[in-house]
Amino acid sequence: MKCISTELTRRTDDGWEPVAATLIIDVPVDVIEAAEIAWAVQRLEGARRLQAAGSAVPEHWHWDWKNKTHKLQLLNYRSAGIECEGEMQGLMLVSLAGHSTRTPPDKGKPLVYIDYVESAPWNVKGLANGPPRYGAVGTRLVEAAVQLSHEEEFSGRVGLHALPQASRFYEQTCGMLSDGPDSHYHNLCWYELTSQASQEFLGGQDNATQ
Amino acid sequence: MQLNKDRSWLLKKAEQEDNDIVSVGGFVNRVAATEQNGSEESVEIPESARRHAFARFVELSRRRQRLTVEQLSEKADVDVAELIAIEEADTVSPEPRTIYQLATVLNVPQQKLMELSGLSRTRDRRFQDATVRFAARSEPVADLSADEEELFQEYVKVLVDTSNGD
Repeated sequence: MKCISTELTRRTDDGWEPVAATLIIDVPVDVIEAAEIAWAVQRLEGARRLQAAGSAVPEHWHWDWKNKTHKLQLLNYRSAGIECEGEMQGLMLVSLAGHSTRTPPDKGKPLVYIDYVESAPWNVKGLANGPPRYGAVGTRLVEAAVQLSHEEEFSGRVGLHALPQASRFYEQTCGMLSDGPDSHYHNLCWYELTSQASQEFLGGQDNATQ
Repeated sequence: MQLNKDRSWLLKKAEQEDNDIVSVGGFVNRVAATEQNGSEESVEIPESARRHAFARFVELSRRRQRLTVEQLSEKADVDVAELIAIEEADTVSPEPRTIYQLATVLNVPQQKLMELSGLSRTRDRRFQDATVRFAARSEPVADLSADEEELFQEYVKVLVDTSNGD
């Protein structure tokens, strides 16, 4: 487990303010499970509210923990979590092998594949009971994926499959490219961050710390 | 690992992200499957919460009867190792016979214990809610406190009320 000091944002009356946070790489399984339990009540309540409002709610409002635990034991998987004010605000599981870019100019080159990423329910519009609490959770986790990609000498390349509901974040906030629905993967859209796009996402290389 | 410390970048990204859904994998894939299949929408107990609730329920039930793990093992004719695995939330799929034996000794509806153990599915919302709350609030301590006793009784009531009288 490795802890890195960083920041998230917290909502104020005028917008956002920075708040201290910790990025954890290789999160212990029991910590992930504790977070999942802490999120469960609010996620279920959020799902109820969405249902009551007539919005779409997943048939199975959980992730396959048994499968994820198994994956965490494999050498090519790494996990990351972002903690703020004593609570886990987001979790991510990435695969470092078996995936490659699909679009030019990096086509065929290896990338870090985001297998799972989720923000705590109190940080998500619609799921939160009231205004979401912390911002930039997804940004920090994608940033961690880019950095893991650099550590693997994949030049910042990252890929994932996303639902249309998450496309705005991956396209506009992260600058990812999509080559459309993947018929081999539930028809979810394939998104990837090229080496060049990952540098633009990070806002240049002059602002790094630690 | 290098992380961007530029606050203006962070604030701009927070504004862009705007607390949208960022989820990938897990339930997201199941959402897609649901939308494609057009199946009926429902909500299930999160797997880890269910497993935690099952573990704590068995543990609290045993302690309430002032039984050691070994004594419950003998009384229910269940292997000690399996009982320990259940109370440690290590068992993903216990044996159906184990659940039947435990339900008998702990005096709880068999079907509900099957659902709590993960061996059968439940669509009972009250039971789902109660299970998640029980998982979130119960902690393993030496003796049942007054709060634990109240929590336990409350959950048993839901468990019995939502059963079909098996």
